[in-house]
This record gives sequence, C-alpha cells and structure tokens, in this order.
Amino acid sequence: MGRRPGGELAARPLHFIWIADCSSSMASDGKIQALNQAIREALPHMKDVAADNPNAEVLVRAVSFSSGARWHVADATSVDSFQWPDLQTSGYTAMGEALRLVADQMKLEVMSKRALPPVLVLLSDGQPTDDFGAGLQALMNEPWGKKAVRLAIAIGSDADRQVLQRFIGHPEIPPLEANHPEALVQHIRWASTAVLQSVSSPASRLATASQVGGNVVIPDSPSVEVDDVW
Amino acid sequence: MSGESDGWQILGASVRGASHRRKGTPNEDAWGMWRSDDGVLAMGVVADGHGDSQSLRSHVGSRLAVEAMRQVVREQREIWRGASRSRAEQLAQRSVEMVVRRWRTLVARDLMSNPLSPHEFDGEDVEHPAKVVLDPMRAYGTTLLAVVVTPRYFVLFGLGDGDLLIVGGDGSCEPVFAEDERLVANETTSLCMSTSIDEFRFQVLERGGAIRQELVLLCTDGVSNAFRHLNGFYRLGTDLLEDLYNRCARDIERDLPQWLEDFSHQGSGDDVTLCMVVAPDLRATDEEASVNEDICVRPERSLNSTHWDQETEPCSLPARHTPVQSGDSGLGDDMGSSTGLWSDMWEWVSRTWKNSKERR
Repeated sequence: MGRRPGGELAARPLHFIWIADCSSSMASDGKIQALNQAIREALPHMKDVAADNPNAEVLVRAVSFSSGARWHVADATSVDSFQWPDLQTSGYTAMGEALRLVADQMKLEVMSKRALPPVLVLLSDGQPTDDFGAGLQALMNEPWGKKAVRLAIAIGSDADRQVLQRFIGHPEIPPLEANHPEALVQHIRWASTAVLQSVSSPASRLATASQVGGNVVIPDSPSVEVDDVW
Repeated sequence: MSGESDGWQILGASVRGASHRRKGTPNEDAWGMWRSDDGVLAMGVVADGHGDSQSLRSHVGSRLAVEAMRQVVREQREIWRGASRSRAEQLAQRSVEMVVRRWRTLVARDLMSNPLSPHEFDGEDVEHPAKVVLDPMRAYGTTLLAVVVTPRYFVLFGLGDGDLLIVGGDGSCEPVFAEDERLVANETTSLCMSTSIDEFRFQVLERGGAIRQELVLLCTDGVSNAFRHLNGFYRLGTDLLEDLYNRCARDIERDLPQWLEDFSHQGSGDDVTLCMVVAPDLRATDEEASVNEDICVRPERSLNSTHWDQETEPCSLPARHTPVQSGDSGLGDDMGSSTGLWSDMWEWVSRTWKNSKERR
C-alpha cells in the first residue's frame, strides 16, 4: 500500500450557536436559571449525537444579548469539551446586534464551504429594543446565514413571536413555545439533539435561492403539555 | 503538443460513504471510462446522485448520466477526432444539449419500465412524493463531470458540485472551473433541473503548452469535503502525480479503494469517487505493468463503475424495480404504456396529503 495522497483529513465542521436573551426581564420567574439549566442538561445528549455522527465535528458557541450583544462563548468549541457558563441578566434586548455578531461568522471566508449547515437557536422572552431588521438583513446577506438552520424558542407569553418567525424565515416552522421550565428543557434538548442529528448527515439536493437550512429536513418538535408558568 | 490521445490511461474507483453505510443507503455515485477503438479518443466520467429524500433513484440517475455521456461522445467520435478549437467548442455545446436530452430519455425509459410506487416513499414527508410525482426526473437527480481527451484538446464538462482538477508537469494542481458561490450547504445544480443545459459548464483546453498536463482528476464532492483545508485537497493531485512517476498505475489503482475509504471514514462520510486520466508516458518506467492498453483495469471492487472496452457496448444497467404494469403513464406517447402504479401513486399522494393537512 502506497502512502495516502493529499493533506489532512477531517470531519466536516458543524457550527451550533446559541443566541440567548439575557435582558432584565429574563430574571423574572426563574427564566434565566431555567435556561442555564436546560442548556447544561442538553449537553450530554448533544455529545451522544456527535459521537454517533463521526463525520461531523460539532462546534458550539454562544452569543448573549441585553443592552448590547457579546460572545458569551467566543471560541467554536468541540462539543466534547464545551461547558456552559451561566448567563446573567441586565438591561434591554439588543437582538439585532446579536444577529450582526453572528453574521460576521457566517461569511465564506470565516466558515469554510465544506462546513455543514450551521444551526442557530434564538431564545428570547421579549421584543427587540434595537434595529432587529438590520441585524436580520446582515445575517441574510451572508451565504451561511441564508442557509443556516434557524430555530427560535419563545420564552413566556411576552416573547415577540412575529420577530422570531421572521428570524426562522420558514412559514411551516413556528417558534417553539416555552411557557414552563419543562417545556424549555424539552425544546432545547430537541434543538440540540434531533435537529443536530438531521444536520449531521445531510444529503445533497437541488440548489434553490430561498431554501432555509440548506437541505436539512427539520424533524417534528416534541409536544409538551404542562401548565403555563411564564 | 502531445501526440494522439492513444495511451491515455484511465483508472478510478468509487466507494460507498461511511454515513451511507450507517443509514443503509446505497452508493449514489457512479463513474465510467471509454476509449475509441483506434485509441484516438478517451473519456473519463463521474456522477454523484443527490441522495436527498426526493432523489430516491439517484443511484440509478448517476449511472444513467455516465451512460448518456458515453453514448453522446461515442456517436460524435468521428467529428471529435480532427476538430479545430472553434469546432470543438461548438461540439462541446452541442454535447451538453445532447447529454441532457439523452439522460432524460434514459430516465424516461427507466420510469416507463419501473414506475414509481408508493412503497419507495415509505417514511418520507408527504411533500416529497407529491413533488416527485409532479416532476419524476427529480427522483434521478445527479451531477456530471467528464473529460474527453482528443488528439489536440481536453474537453471538460461540469454540472453541479464535484471537482475537475488538472495537474501539470510542474506539480501544480488547479481546478478547471471557477467555484460556484451559490453551492453551499450541500446544494448543487443537477441534470434534473429544467435549467440544466444553462447550468452545464464546459471548457476546451489545448493539450501541451509551457507546462504539460499530466493528469486530470474527476472527483465527486465527497473527496474535496474530506480534507480539512483546500490546499490539502489540491495536494491530492500533486501527490498522485508523484506516485504515478514512481509506481505502476496498476498498483495505484489497487490502493485507490482503500484511500477512498479513508477519505469517507476519516473525512466527509459521503460516497467518494475518483477517476484519474493519466498522460501516456508516465508509465514509461513501468515494465511490470506490461505496457498494455488493458491498464484501464476493470475495477472489480468498485461496483458503481461502468467500463466500456473500447467500442464494445456498455454494461447493462441493473434491474432493481418492480415489474412493469400496463396503463397510461401520463408522460406522453413516447413514454409508452406503463402503469396502474402511476395512478395508484397519485391517489396515494392525494390521500396522504389530505390526511396530513387534516392532522395539522
């Protein structure tokens, strides 16, 4: 057997980004604690999914937004070593700025063409207090932003569902309703396992201009029947 | 300028992807090679069936694409032999149109003899059968890459993702076609698109020049996606050329399936197919290769290959569908008569779609 030709082989990167609201309203009724706990509980399940799909290198990070937006976990971290630092609440809801931060990472120069479609999960309990439209436009201007699997979780009854629907950009994928800590846990686990599984091994398909999530088939979300708390 | 294409070696292999093994799906890639009986023309071709849930017969579609390309080049072989550059460009454009039409005809014949049936959609979202029934070519969607070596030119064809690389005698490895920025997230253009003729790219490249072309590589996208960096992918061409200088092509072909397995298992997970079109005099040191045209070894371990021994007829395509039934195909007269299954299909799609809406 001759020496294998070519450079280093590697699984295809799959970027998973939480975009989390930590405005002051998230402090009420234990929402932020429930969010921190739900993501932390989902991580072992994410690792299991990643282990079952060795040809996808799952890389996780997070953006938080309140009166501004910043990278909560800036480095694209292998899911195997990813740890969730608790979010703290304060200020307003700069959702548009958060989307612009994410948009910067959706450029082809930053995220290689061989990557799998990224997964963006937006979680919010309120209405944007900055220019959401400009942030969304910035995201949609980038090739990977357009093709990302974009999901949203509406936390509590005050979440702006219209805004979250615009972020998703697909009429048949509504925002997930989390009006109870248990529902939040279920939805976060679904996004980080079932959706991750689907994105991990996609097949090629016809190019279309408006296709959300590239060729990824979004699995059905779980129905959660608990009394509303938020 | 190089001499006649006589002696160009064509070798290749295709392996089922690691993720396809996990999911139980077949190898949807195909490849083939052909040489004219006088050795003047040679051709390598690869195709990559899409594999999404609508492209449920893409493993057949890719083989039909390889066959369509062969038929068209074979029919035009007399014209290709002495074509000038401008004539070659006209022929290439004409070939694109013919290949698309021929592929559609072959698909139509396959549909006619093996109609779509509900059991093929088991477990799939209801929208998919409806889309496929409305446009059954989608079921066979595939890319296509090919190179025809003529006495004076390389004529290169490309539709969809996948890569055509030319490796020069100086070790340089360059893509033939500019990157299509639209094709991210595993999206691709396809023979099944209504715009496929416009999407097809071709190039007529003069052989020889300051840096002689030694090797042409045709790769499905499972190959390039296996490498962490693009430079590592291009190094594949440089390394293969160096290997060809030092080793018998037959030995390299023997190693190829294992390398492709590595590309899939340690890299992309996708089906991987690589066809190499090799300049004739690289094998000069190859006494043990017995300097034989049969260097285009039949790739026994590569089940998706189609190898035409010079002017012989192509290998028969696999039969793997349900028996034909009589009835109206709904596809026009030239599709012949098929199938009660077709109307069954419509009824099933309508019923399932209605039930789905009611559930929502």
